[in-house]
Amino acid sequence: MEIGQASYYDGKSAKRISVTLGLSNDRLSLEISAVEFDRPLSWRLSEIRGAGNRPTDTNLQLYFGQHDARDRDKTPARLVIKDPKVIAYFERTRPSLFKRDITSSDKRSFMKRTVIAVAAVALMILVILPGLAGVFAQFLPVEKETALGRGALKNLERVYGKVTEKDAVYCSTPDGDAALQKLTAHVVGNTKMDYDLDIRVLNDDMINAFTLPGGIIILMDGLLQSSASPEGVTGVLAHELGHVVERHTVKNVLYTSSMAGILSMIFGDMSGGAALAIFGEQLIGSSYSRNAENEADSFAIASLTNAEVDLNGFAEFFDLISENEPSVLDKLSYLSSHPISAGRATKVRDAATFQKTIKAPLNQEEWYALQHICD
Amino acid sequence: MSERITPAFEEDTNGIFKLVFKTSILSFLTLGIYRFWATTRIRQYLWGSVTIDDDPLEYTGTGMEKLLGFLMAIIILTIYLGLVQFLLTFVGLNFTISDDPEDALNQVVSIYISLFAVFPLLAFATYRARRYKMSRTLWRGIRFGMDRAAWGFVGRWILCSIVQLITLGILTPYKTFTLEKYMADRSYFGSAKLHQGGTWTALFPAMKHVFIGMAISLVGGLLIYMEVFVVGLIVTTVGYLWFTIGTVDYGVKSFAYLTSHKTIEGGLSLASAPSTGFIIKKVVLMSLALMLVTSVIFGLVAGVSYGLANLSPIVSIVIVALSYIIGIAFTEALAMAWITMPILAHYITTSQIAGFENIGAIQQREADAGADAEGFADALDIGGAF
Ligand SMILES: [Zn+2]
Repeated sequence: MEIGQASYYDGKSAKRISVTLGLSNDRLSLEISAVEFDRPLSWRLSEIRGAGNRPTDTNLQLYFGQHDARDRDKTPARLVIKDPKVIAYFERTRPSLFKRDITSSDKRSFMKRTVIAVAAVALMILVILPGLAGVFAQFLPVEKETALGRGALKNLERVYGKVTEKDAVYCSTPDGDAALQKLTAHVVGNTKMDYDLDIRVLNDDMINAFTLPGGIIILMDGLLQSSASPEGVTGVLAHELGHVVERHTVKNVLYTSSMAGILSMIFGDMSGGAALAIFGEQLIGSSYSRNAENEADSFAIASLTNAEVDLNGFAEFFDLISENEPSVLDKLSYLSSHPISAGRATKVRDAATFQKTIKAPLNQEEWYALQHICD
Repeated sequence: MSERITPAFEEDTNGIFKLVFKTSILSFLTLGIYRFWATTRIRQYLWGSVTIDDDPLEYTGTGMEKLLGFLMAIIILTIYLGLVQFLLTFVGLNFTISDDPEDALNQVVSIYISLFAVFPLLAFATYRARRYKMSRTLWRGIRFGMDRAAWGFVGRWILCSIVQLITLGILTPYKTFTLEKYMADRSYFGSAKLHQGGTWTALFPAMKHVFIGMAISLVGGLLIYMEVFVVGLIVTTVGYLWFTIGTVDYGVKSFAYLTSHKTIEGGLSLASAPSTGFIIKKVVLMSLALMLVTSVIFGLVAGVSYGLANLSPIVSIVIVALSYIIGIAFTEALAMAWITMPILAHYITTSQIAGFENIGAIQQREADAGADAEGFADALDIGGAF
């Protein structure tokens, strides 16, 4: 039975062969005949697929192979049909011409690549970059780090000077400074110090403390005010000193900037990817900083133990900020930079049980002077 | 007697609109995973719209191979970008000299430096993406293809970019020509190799309006410098507009020149005569129409969300998010149907193939497995419209 005319390309050259299409006697195969052929080609109807786009009224391209799209490239012989009647015939009799299956080899390589990709990203973000940050932070000269810290401090003063209602940015009294110096001497002890420490009290009611590159530690007045004992302030100071000694600020810059690049690339062109990238950055960044907080706590515990300062006072400071005592907002500011887990206070308390001798880091007058440094 | 053939393009505005609209909604709903299949289907559609001597082009790329290529690129880029960015940050910390280190830290270090690390990769990805598209294009069952030579392209790209930069863009034709010649000379249709003829200096006339725009802006800047503000500002604006349109004009004319000087081994050659006027009309008028339509749509979205203010928050968030997605998909579909496809159709229907009687002698070439598809271009977000 004759179906109609078409153009045939043998997949070996771009030469057009005009062919006549017909059905075999058993009606299971398409017979393709041309004067160029010794005998007609026979394509099993069940193995004929549509190539490229779905057909328009005047254009249908067929090939002979499996459902798998990759076979399409491997079997390049083509029938191009222009006759609307013939196109309609194929659409009517072979509705699944354009159906494609996903092969199991596709699934396998997809699984394999996904696993490798996830592993590479995880390895980079969780192992290699933190490790590199740790090593390379040691190679940044102290003068460079100090210059960075000074710059950041200057910037902070400029911004803070604009928003504060207080008359001075920092607080200082002769007695208060002396008390602060005494505390510093306690927590430094015999730790080898590469930095000229620069410890200041910021005139602000927030309960917070932070470290800038190059040995700059900022305590906020709110922290001094709300601490029940000098031991609490000593603990916080020792914790911040831990950040200085471990060079956490530099490590953090190195780590977060390289991590951010990876995340924004992965999520970059996904829909809503920017939000995902920021979320991921927060998540990974906070787990990275939690690690740094633990290191700083360990340093504080060792330092207070050496200085024979009661660790229970430090633990009580954690209790204080986990309670409802200060306004929620003030509390949040500390929590955002120093995430509190129940484990943190417990760890300090456990260490306290091993302390044999303890002595007060400051006497009554010195503690009074420190607490009133901003008056 | 040389036989000349003009390719045809069947423009189906409704068909392409529906396809892009549907696939971009699916891409949103799958958090972007479907985009590999979306690109594939759009290309199949566009390729299939082109017929040369009544035979359609065929696109044989698949969504799965694009997804696999993307994953492959992620693996390599994670390691490369992570390490390079890390080292550059470290170097940046060591050499940052600034009065305002916070700025220096945040901006210089994290943005500019990482851009420098990415630039060569963009060139790499550009070549790889073109090679991928060529290797997945068939006509009469015969494959197109390109050599594996992306690194040579990166080298030339860096060199040409430096030349372009230090001559303030005056030697742009050198870059355009060198890079296109590099790619064209490594391209094939079946067994037949392409050849890019001509010279780069011949592209200078195409730069005419770019230069005029630059000159006018310069005069405007000079006037502002001499404190003739109003006139200076007007002149600068005119210069800027002239420059912008001049850039489009350069794109069109350099394409025409480069295409008209391409020959295909075995006695075939190409010609191209696109009209800058048509392209600018499409871009300017259709962009304006598109802006109008989308502002109406997003106005409606905003109106709807305002009207929902007293519904439960979750319901109204879902409705607003959905209408936002539909709005974006609508915009993308219109941009394809009104701007991208007509321009593509214009370029195709204004080209010609000469020496067509020799076409039958061209033989098949080997298939190119190309393990990463266009994964790098996708991961680096330089995919383009289709
Ligand atoms: Zn801390």
